Amino acid sequence: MRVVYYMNQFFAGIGGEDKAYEPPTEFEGPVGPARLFEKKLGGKGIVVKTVSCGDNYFAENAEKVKGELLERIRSASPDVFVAGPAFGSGRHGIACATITSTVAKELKIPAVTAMHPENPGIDVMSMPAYVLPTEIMATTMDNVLTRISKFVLKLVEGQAIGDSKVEGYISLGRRVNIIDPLTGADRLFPLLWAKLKAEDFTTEVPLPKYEVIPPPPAINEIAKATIALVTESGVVPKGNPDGLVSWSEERWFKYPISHLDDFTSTTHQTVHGGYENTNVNQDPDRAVPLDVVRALEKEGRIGKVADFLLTTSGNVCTTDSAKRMGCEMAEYLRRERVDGVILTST
Amino acid sequence: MVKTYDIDSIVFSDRTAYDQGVLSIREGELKALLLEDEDIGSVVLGIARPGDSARIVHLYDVIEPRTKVEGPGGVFSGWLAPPSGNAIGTIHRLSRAAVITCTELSSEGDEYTEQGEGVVDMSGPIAEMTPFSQTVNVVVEVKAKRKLTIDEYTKAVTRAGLKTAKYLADTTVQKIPSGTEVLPGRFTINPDLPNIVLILVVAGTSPTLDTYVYGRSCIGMVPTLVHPNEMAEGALVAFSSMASSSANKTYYYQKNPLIENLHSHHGTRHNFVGVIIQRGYSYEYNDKERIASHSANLARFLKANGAIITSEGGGHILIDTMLACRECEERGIKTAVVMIEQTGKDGTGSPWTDFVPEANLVVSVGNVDEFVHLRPVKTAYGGKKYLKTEIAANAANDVRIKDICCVNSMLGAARVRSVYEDRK
Amino acid sequence: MPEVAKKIGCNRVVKGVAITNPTGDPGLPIEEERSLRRKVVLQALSALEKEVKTG
Repeated sequence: MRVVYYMNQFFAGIGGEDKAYEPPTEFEGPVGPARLFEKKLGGKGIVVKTVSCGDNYFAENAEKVKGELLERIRSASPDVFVAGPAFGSGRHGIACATITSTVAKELKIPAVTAMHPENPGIDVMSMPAYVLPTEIMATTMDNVLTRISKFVLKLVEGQAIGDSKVEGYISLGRRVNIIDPLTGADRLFPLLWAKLKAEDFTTEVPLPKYEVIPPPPAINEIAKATIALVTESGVVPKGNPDGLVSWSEERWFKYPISHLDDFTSTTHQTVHGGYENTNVNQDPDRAVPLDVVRALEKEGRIGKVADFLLTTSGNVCTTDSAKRMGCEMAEYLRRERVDGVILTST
Repeated sequence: MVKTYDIDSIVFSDRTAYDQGVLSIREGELKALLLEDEDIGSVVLGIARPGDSARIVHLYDVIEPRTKVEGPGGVFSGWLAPPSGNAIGTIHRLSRAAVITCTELSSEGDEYTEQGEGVVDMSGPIAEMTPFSQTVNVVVEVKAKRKLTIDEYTKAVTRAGLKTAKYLADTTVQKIPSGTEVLPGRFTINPDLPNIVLILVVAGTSPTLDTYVYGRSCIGMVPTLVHPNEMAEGALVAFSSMASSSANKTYYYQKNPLIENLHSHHGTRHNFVGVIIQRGYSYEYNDKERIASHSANLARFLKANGAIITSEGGGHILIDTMLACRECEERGIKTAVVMIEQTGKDGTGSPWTDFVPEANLVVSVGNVDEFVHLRPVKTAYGGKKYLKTEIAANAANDVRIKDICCVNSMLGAARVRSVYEDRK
Repeated sequence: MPEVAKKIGCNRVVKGVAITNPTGDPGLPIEEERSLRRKVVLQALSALEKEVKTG
């Protein structure tokens, strides 16, 4: 069994945060945790290649990196793909989840990663890839690698994978249709009667657990603050140089605005397919208020307008894509030392 | 009073009559009746029976054959009788039978003519899911005589279906029924039991997704009360040429599975206090809030302790439904919502289109985005090819479950639901 | 739709003018429109300057 293994720059021994911008690279054979993983396969498989990428580089160039890594992985003709474990590290988790899901889908081989159940990477996992749970800290590496190796062997042997709690993987919450013995109309009444009597009942569609995002602290001195403009309204330079699409977009772009006081119909346009575009095409400030924000900068009301507009088209965007893009944008803005964001949405 | 006449078989014959479970239809006579309508150019009749290697496509509506034999007015007020429903008296119904109208819509000019496929399989795996594999179906395939507006066309097909339904039920006049049921006009209230109201959020947006109340579109209608007996007489007629799996059909307004359960446990587990019709799909959020709040106020007026809230179709009508839920819960009325899920082709998306935190009791009627396989069958009724394709209607095809009639009915009529994969 | 934004966990939400023009109004003369836009932006800045609790 041929295994290709992915890990970030840290676990690959390239370096720490200082090397988080390293582009994709590869090593022959196992490196870092892949060495111990290979031992745990007990001779049933070998790690033929280890691929790696800096966490920040991955976050900012996801589409490009996905493509590049996929080719490096594909060229090694693997039977199985493993990534991580990412434990509690968000960027590593997102990278592992992204590449594992891509490999599972494109190469149609068993693909497994592992991370903490609250790692944001879980939100970008998709079937048929698998993710196993871990602690937050990497101290349990040995145990995790044992579990991954056992799981991988099961997959390769074609064994049926059952209930997530029994088999030890994180359920991605995939829903499937079944034919119940009873109709919806018949199932409803015992549930409603119980609710009316203040007794316990189990809903058939659990309410979404929307994240409680702790609000960042207020900006103390906004007259010294750098404020960035971010939008999902699809505003792009006229001519749409990067081909932002009108729906189901998965990418975002940054465009320089430090030389502009204003958006006009000659400089910019929108391509968002989810709302009638005429008003914004006539004056893109109607979606991204650059003219006003620039005026406030000149008046000293805010310190500075960030040099780049971050833009995407949010129409029919999956929550997974939107979340990932948001994380990537936030990473970028944090490094640019932006203090606050005005995010406009249609 | 409702007299039921069981149908064991339906055949074409030299006269139209009902005799001890066998319904005979004189084809020429029924065709002539329907062709009296100036808008109808051709009619093709067929009979699709449970177990047949057969498929119905281009399904427009499903109607249970019913007629009124005693009392004021008639069935389908506003269509076949004056629009003055007075639901007292006696109706006859044919059980285990249905009229299924089929057509391929078109319209003059570039009016909005969105039509989704509607399919019923009479045998095989898909028949397991669609309730109309269990009824003997008289298929009425209709074509317009000339270019009609989409409003004229849908009304013409509707008329054809309702006329056929009454024509078939009329065979039972003076015959001995298989069963008789008295549907109470007044509900006696047991103060020890909770009062439950049924709120039907129904489509009202275009001729291809609308609901007619006493012969008039519900677009612009304020939420209103109806008595379930009015519905049994055909007060509500469906105009749903889209979202076949989750849109309501006239059959389920006449023979509503939730109303049946509300009746059968009235006085023992709950008090059934009424039905509210709430028009869904209004375009502005303000209207949605206004209408939902009005519905909840009516429910409160009826002293409801609980409300069952349904929906149909999909998309922003689910906002109307969720608002009705929120408004009821805010007034202390405990809700149960029946809802489709739209989790995407592979089921990993969120089931929710819109949600309110108060929607803590939801009955799932399945993911409409899943694909199903239609196997080849011997005979196709209603059309020759799958809508907007070159694939023969009796050939194999992979389609979205959305296309299969009523399998995701938000009236709870079918048995499909979604569960988490590892709990299958 | 500010309700949706609040529901999914956004802590600082300012209501925009309309879906087709969140920070504008083509029905107004340009000076009034800019004035309106400035008002919306100032509300946004005000939100950034304010301590906010979850929920």
